[in-house]
Amino acid sequence: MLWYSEGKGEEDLGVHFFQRIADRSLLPPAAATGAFVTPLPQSPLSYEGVIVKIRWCVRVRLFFEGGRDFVSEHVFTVGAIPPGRLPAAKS
Amino acid sequence: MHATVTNPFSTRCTRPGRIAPRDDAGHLVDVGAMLDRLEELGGSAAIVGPHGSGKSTLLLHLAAAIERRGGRTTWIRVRSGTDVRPLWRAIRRAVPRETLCIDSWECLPRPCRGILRLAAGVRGCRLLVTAHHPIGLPVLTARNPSRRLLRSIVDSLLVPAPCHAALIQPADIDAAFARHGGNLRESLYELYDRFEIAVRSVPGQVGTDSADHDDPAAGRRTIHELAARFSYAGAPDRNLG
Repeated sequence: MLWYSEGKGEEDLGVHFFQRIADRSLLPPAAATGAFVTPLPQSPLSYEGVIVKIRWCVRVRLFFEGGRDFVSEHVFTVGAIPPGRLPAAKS
Repeated sequence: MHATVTNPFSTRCTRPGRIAPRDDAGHLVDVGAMLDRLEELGGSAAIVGPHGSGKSTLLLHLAAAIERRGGRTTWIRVRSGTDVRPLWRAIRRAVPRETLCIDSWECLPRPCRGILRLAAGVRGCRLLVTAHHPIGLPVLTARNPSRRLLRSIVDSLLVPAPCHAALIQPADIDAAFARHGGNLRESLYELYDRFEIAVRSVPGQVGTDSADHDDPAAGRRTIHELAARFSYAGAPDRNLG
């Protein structure tokens, strides 16, 4: 689970929760339903700005024995900051 | 609740390496053929072109292709004329036939470049560099961006979310290209802004009244509609979802 910035400039990200599961027997009980639990931090909160956005997501990477891997990413929202608005046009 | 929409012109989608390299006419570059030409040139060469013409993107793809062929590469980005130490260190550590991929080689003073080339030659390693002008190394390719190139890049960025295409018109692309004198990077930055303006002008989209907090049900509906329509343009390439 991580947050990342998205926008016009340099990118940033922070990994909040990481788990590598190499053994099927170590899968959490709810894994079959796609559910897992981890406490979220106080910040950063999701933000839908004009120049920069902060996104939280769950990213799952599957490594197959043949050497291939697949990535799936699902964005979710933390907090309730209103989206940024464009500055009013000058008359 | 409000919708999240990935701007297809954000750095996440446009940074060097994300966009497949294209020639000046907008056709995909045959990286394998270019590597063959690099071998013909002796393994050391320069990718030449103006600011924002896709040199770094091409260099990244060539580096990846060299690795796929079993070669070894080291990536170095020169940020200023005094940025010699990482280069020197890389040359000292390089193994014979290793390719040092150096972005913005021309930032280094000429005498410095001469010494580094000499040292690389002694170590038996190769230099694949980007520069704004020919700088003594054989020219692998000279970039000269065109409107067609920018249009093809924009088309490729809009592929994951075709509904975004209506927000960016061909005239916008041409205008951005003209305004920035053919600088693709700056043109994409302008299109980023244009997209933000356009997406906020669509009712129910991010930052518009109907997608804000007044009607939570409308917000949820918008999210699901967007999720179905947009996917995530900036998500990793091999997305299972």
